[in-house]
Amino acid sequence: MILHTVKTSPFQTLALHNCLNLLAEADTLLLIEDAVIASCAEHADYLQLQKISQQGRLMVLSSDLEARGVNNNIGKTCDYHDFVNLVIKHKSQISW
Amino acid sequence: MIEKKVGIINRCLPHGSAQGRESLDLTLAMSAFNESLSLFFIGDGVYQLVDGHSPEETLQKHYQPLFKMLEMYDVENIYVCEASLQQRSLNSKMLLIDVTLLNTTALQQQLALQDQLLSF
Amino acid sequence: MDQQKVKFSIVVSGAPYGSQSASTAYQFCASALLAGHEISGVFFYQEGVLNASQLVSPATDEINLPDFWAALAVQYNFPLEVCVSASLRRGIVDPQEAQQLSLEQFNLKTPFVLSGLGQLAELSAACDRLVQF
Repeated sequence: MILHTVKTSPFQTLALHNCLNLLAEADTLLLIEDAVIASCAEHADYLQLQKISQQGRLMVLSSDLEARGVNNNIGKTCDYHDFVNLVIKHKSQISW
Repeated sequence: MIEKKVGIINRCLPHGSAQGRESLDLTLAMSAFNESLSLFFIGDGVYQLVDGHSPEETLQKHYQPLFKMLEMYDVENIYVCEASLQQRSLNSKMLLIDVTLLNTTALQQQLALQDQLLSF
Repeated sequence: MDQQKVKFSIVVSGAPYGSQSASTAYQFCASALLAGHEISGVFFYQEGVLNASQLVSPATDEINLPDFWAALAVQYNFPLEVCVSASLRRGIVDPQEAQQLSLEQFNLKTPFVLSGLGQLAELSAACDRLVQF
């Protein structure tokens, strides 16, 4: 059970793509920093992200959405308190 | 107390950034304190192990020989993503050290076993 | 586990300015502490060592992240460990290293301390959760 945190835009790097390749069924994906944009606009991996979102395994850090003036279309927004609890809930974390 | 299983993930090419070098430094140092380390090479990280680096003219440190110390330091769990090698037209014979190739499912299972993960 | 007190160790790999990750790490720590959890220590590695410079001097209307780290660490009494080899390569030096290397200056901020990677191994062993930024 791994919490994957991705911080770069899917339009800029393949971090999200590579993360999705290794995301197991028990894992959760948290988009932070520039990566929050992946929840707002369609990109090459958007469909897969949508699927993970439907399974309730996609989280988006709200302060990073607000900082960039965007809203998420998929995923559940969370604050830092939730981020802390996500880390606690998962065995480990990978920072992408 | 049972020793924690620590996985160290290498995702970057050598020399363009210090990621690979500092990951290896960390691995060798931590191996003195933790005998349950596992190394993962995925994506461009596989190039760390492709034999024949010669970075002198780039003014970068030639740290590749240090990978051979891993065995001496008893770091034996070295996993390489098979798909990443194939995508890059590489194979395990081109690697500097003996590794275990893993497909995506096996890689996921191995990562899930780790108590802590550090990524470079 | 939600209600329990959890011990976190944090690895910071980003500079205090120029990328966001050290700020994200700080916000995470502040939030964890506010929720009653414990920070065993923060380990600064790679570009993260630049958080330990006492010379960081942003404009007055901007955040001084090294100051924030120092204040949080003092308030909650946890160590700010800075990897010595990563530091020396990037020009972060404490008085002892300056003397040993015959450098005219040092710039390590209090209460940051230079320590070896063995300290990361200790933080890793001591915590319930290790988080990297």
